[in-house]
Amino acid sequence: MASTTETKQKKMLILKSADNDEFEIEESVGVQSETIKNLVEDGFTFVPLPNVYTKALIKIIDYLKKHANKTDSNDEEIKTFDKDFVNTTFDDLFELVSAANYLHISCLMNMLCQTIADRIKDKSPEAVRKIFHINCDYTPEEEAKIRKANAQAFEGQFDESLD
Amino acid sequence: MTSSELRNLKKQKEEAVDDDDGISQLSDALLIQILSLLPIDEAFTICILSKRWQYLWTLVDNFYFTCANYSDIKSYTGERLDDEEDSCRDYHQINPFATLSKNSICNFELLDLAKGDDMDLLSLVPSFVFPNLKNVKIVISPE
Repeated sequence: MASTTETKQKKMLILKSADNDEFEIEESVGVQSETIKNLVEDGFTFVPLPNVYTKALIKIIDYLKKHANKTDSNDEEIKTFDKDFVNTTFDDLFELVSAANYLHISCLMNMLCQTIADRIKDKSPEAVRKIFHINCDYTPEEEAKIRKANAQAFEGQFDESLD
Repeated sequence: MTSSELRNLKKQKEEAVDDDDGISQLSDALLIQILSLLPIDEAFTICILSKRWQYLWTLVDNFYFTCANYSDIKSYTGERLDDEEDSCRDYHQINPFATLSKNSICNFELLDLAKGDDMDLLSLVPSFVFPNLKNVKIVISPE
């Protein structure tokens, strides 16, 4: 545990979200993000993040704090944290993956992309459309043509659930 | 900031961002990164979603395929059917893998290849010329 004097000496950063909320975090926590690290190396202590909304930023700060304190002994704890972290709605995952991409936090990016891929695997095209909020702009004839030409790819059992 | 403050803020902001519409805000590059983690046949089925998605899957950087048996992959790389050639020319999808961007592929994995089919694999090679390939993994199932 850090003593009070050490805590006082810790370098702090202020992150400002797209919706203008400010968060103070330790520099050592923030620099896990390549984007923040580059700014810190250029001497910035105030970091505006115009592409990251507060809701995602709060979760990402939680993630960074947890992962900054990674040791051999809390490996299991972090695994549980990560599992919990990605156990959310698709819309939240999309928001988080956008933010993680902008912040260049590669371990978080990998985890989020893998989670999204795992969760859309085996889903029917109709379910994936709903999940991704896609408006199908094929005419019914065009869609039928693609399906017919690739019948083997669209055969079999699909998962219709949206979670 | 304490965790209770964070929680309060979170509550306040939750509604404000609720109307954001999911993945349409994600860039093509990000979508391709996600599609790259799917087996290639699943990534391919994404082409049916909409016109924007029609060719996204062709830019994936991984080629993962789990073949329960060899005929699966053959059905994807097989010959064009003559009588359907005209009607499907617009979609290039009788042989969908032919539309893959060969330069993008870095990792190639064939899993569960049935025993005996490994020899036939040689006949597939012309379909899979990937200039930037870094990793190849082929797993032959024991039985």
